[in-house]
Amino acid sequence: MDEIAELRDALDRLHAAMDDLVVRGVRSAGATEVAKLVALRDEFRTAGAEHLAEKLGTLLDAVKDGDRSAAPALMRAVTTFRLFDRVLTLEVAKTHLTPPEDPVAEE
Amino acid sequence: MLPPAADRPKLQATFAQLSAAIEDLLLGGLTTATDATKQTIHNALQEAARFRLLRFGGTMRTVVDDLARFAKHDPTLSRRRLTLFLNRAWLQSRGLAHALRVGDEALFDRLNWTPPARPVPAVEAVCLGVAKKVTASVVIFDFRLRALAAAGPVAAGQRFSWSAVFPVKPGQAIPPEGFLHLPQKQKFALTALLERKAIAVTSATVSGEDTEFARLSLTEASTVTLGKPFADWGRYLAWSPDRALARLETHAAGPLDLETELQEEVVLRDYEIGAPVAGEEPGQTAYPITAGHLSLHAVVGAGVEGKALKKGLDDLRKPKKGRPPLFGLMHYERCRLVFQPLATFPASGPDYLTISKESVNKATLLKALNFN
Repeated sequence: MDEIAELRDALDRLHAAMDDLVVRGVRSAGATEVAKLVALRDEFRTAGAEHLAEKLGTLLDAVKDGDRSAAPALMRAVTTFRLFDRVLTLEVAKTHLTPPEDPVAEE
Repeated sequence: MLPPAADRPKLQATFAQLSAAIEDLLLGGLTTATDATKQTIHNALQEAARFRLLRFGGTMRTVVDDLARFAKHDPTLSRRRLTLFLNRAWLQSRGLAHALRVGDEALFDRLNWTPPARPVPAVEAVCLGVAKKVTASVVIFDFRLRALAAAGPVAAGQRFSWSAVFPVKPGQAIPPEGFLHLPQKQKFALTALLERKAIAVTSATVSGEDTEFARLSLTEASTVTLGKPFADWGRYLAWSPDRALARLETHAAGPLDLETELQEEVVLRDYEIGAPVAGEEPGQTAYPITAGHLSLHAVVGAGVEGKALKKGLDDLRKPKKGRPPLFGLMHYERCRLVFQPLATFPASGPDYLTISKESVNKATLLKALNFN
């Protein structure tokens, strides 16, 4: 799997995790949900998306503490990952739309 | 422009209550929505209408709609869309409240941005395709038009669209295409736009920042009449990715972006349509389409929304010589080129793929609408 496909896969898993939290509520998050978020935070940190990893870290701390700030932290994390997804999508779209170089013309 | 000073404290309180209500929902989950929460959300929608906060109002309408679908266990509810619009509502309400608190007019205008409308005394156009959206509460047709000649702020060949929105009452069982037959305030039926003729519009307005695309709005004084049959469709069927690439180069992504706001009208030739698979949202169907170096992901809506289009695409998949040019809308989502097919262009003119060819019984339609 190439780098973009790996990021895409991680973003899809993050979308699903966030949708679950929105529907079920952050107070319902148990050990399984927390473990998923920890894994995703670490994955994005390794991929160099430090800003997104930081927002997920803040969300994780608030969820573990059962703090009311978990709700705005969830919204900030959603805002950040959606923007990250958008920027990545537009970059990938450019490569999809650009015609391949003509190897004959290259020679 | 900021609202009058006397109205600001109440509006600011409305935004603050809304963001707090959304946070309450996010803490306890959507099943814990109380009557007070629902009332706060409805109040925000009403205030948006009262102060003509169109962008915020659009977000709130979707939130209200999706929360109602969630409460009814509607299988077509998209959890992803619900997250997106709750996030938008939260962001907009906090941003607008902040702008009011500190008197930041530029921020208020940016968050509530709606493009200025310019009058169009008269313009002649043709319809290249129609997008159809069907939900439990509304049917929307978005007609994609081209100006036949320059007219006021509209350039010759300019792309523009006009949307017709029809609320659906609970229990009202009529096919979406039934609404195309209803007389409009301007004394025409939408079916007229699909007759492959020139369409003359007077006393309308256009809005939009893009020099090549605008939204058309009709007023009560507008007229819409049909002209001569149009045959020169070929002049609108040239397309290359260059314009889309140029727009991508200059586009700055923002947290309030909707994927479909950056959209292109596309014409495909020499294309292949692959076998359909289940789409990502409940009931959706997806078709892989390839055309030259492009790989597109065509999405067909669930149920009655996508029934006609699905049949059209299945027909196009059958082996045949020289498929007609395929016109549609392209946007970018999940690192893919997402395509919404709208019409094919055989020699006889456009075949509007999204519109059912089944006849509508007008007597049954009027009865269902309680007009008689």
